[in-house]
Amino acid sequence: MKNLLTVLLVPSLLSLAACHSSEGRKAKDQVAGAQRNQEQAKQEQVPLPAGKEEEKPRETVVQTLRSGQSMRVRFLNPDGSGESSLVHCLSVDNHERVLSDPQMGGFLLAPGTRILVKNDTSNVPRDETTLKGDNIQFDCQER
Amino acid sequence: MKKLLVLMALTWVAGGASAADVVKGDLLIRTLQVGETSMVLLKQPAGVSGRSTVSCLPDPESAQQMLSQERTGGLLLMPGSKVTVKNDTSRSFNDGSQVKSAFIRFECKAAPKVTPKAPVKTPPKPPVKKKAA
Repeated sequence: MKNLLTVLLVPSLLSLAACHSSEGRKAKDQVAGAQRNQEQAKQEQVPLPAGKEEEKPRETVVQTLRSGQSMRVRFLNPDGSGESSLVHCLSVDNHERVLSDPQMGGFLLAPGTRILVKNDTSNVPRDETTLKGDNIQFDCQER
Repeated sequence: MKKLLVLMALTWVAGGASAADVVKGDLLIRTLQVGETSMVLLKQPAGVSGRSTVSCLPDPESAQQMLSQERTGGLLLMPGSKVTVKNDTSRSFNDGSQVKSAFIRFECKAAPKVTPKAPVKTPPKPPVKKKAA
């Protein structure tokens, strides 16, 4: 990543240096520095072994819910099955009132709660979550 | 790596009953220590039956590490977190056990800080007197 940035930055630095001729020495120094960096970048570029791709880090999307807010989520269970649920952030310990509605269910988070789930990105209906991360972290905060 | 190995060895708490359960009216409070997992049969919105696991992890980094592994998932709670669900009393676990309460609250408890114990001082042994031949 650092190498890539260096390679991308070098041409822009070169053109910048050419534009600002009044800062001659400074620009020359920059060009020289950039060229050195480019040489280093070339040296550091080691080709990956065939068939082995660079490991992509898993992305965690942080979703902060304020008291009273809910969000639909589809996450994976350890057996690989997808679970469609609702995450709701409580204001106080009023779970009985919230869950007294027969249509209500899912996970009720007390203020100060932080949970993580593995996002099930396969076969997500459009009316449900549009979160794209590999993992979703829900933080329940009081208003 | 060592941390990861610890996470892979999560302890399963019984689905139906656990020693760490406290019943308050129609609410069952299940306290999970760091590294413990419990199964749960819950009601999802619109009365749909749900089934998942609730685990207690030491921090978000550990949770992310765990979720990067195969055959992991469910709800991962950080210490201090409290999550309440509507219990699905219409179903029972594979072993036939069942939670009777209307609601279940999972609490993830932080591991107590281990303070190193002061070394126990043992009195020096008295010199053994050699018997005269």
